[in-house]
This record gives sequence, structure tokens and C-alpha cells, in this order.
Amino acid sequence: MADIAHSLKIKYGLLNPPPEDKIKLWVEKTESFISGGISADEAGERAAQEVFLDYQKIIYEAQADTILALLAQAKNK
Amino acid sequence: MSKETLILAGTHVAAAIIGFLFSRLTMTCKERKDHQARLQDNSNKLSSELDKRYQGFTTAINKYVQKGGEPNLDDFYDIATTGDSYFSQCRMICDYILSGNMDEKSIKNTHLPVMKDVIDKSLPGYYGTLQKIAKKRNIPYGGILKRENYKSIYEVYNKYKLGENK
Repeated sequence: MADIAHSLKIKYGLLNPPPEDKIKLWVEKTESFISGGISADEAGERAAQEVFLDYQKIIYEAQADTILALLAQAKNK
Repeated sequence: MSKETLILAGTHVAAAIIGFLFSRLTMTCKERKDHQARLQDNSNKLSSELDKRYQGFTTAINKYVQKGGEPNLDDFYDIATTGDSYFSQCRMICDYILSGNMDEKSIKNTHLPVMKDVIDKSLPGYYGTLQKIAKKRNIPYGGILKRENYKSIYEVYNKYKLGENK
């Protein structure tokens, strides 16, 4: 679950990795949007907007910066 | 054959030729459009794959960082393999750019800034960190940053630098 939380954080620009209950809610909403005929990407985006209060608070645009920040943490582990 | 008949036949032939040329011209426009769409499509697909590999890479590093207790050899090699996969996709994008299979707008706005960061930050950071972790944990790891392994990325990077200085 930690892996998904981290991926969601990066993908939807969240401040922190979302807790488990929020992730479950996001999955449910995404599936519901998909069954309503919306594409998977858009469904995930819409669900994230509704479920995560910190949606798009941070834009992780520069992949390199995130990679470096994580690598620095790994180095100090 | 009378003069009028010849003129009429000539007009028909000229019309047919003009029609043919016009249709060729129309085809060329359509083909150009298709070509442009194909280049754009290449860019989108490669970007989307890069995003996936980026997710895999950052997830592996995060897993290592968040691990309760000491990370093991598998955790270390997860970073190494997902990192290699990410940089391999960067290399593929640059191969497409260099072979003229990418649209100019996507190259300039999307890919070049990423490749510049890869050369300036991610690649040296990646190899430097893996070497330090390996040394600290006595892991046999011989990876070093060799320019020839990322030739196309450096080529694209140099082109970008030249463009910046114009």
C-alpha cells in the first residue's frame, strides 16, 4: 500500500502519501467513473480531485528533482 | 481528325493531368498531416512509458527509504534495475529525436528539459548514490557512469546547449 500511496502522491501532486482509507475511496470512485464510460486516466484524475484535499498542491514536474531527493534519503538510510 | 477534335482531346488530357497533379498535392498534404500525427503519437507514447518507468524507479527508491530495518540486497538491486530501465527509456526517446521521428514542438517543450536534467542531475546522482550505498553495505556493485552508454542523450543534450547559446 505504501508503494501505491507514493505513486499517487507523485501522480496527483499531493503533499503527503494518502492514507489507506483514502486510497480505497479513490479506487472505488475511479472504478465507478470507468464504469460510467470515462477513460481510466480521466477517471483517476477526477476521483483524485474529489478524494484528496491536497490534490495538485505540488507539481512534481521535474522528475530529476524528485529522483535526487529520494536518492539523498536512500544514501542516508 | 479535325482541329476542333484535337483541341477537345488536348483539353481533356490537360484536365486529366491537372486533376492528377491536384490529387497528388492533396495526398501530399494529407500525408504530411498523417506524418505529423505519427510524430506526435511517438512522443506521447514514449513520454507515457517514461512516466511509468519513473514511477517504478521512484517507488523502488522510496521502498528502500521506508523499509523498516535494514534494506537488503533485493531492495538495492530494485533501485538499480528500475533506474536502468528509466534511463534506457530516456535513451530511446533521444534515439527517436536524433533519427527525426519526433515532432519539433514536443522535443523542445517536453523532452529537452528532461534530458538536460538527466545529464546534469539524475544520472550523476544515480551512479554516485548507488556506489556510496554499495560501499556502505558491502554490496558488490561495479556500475559507473560511462558517457558512451548514454551517447544519444549526450548528443541531444549538446544540441540543446547549442540552441540555448543562439
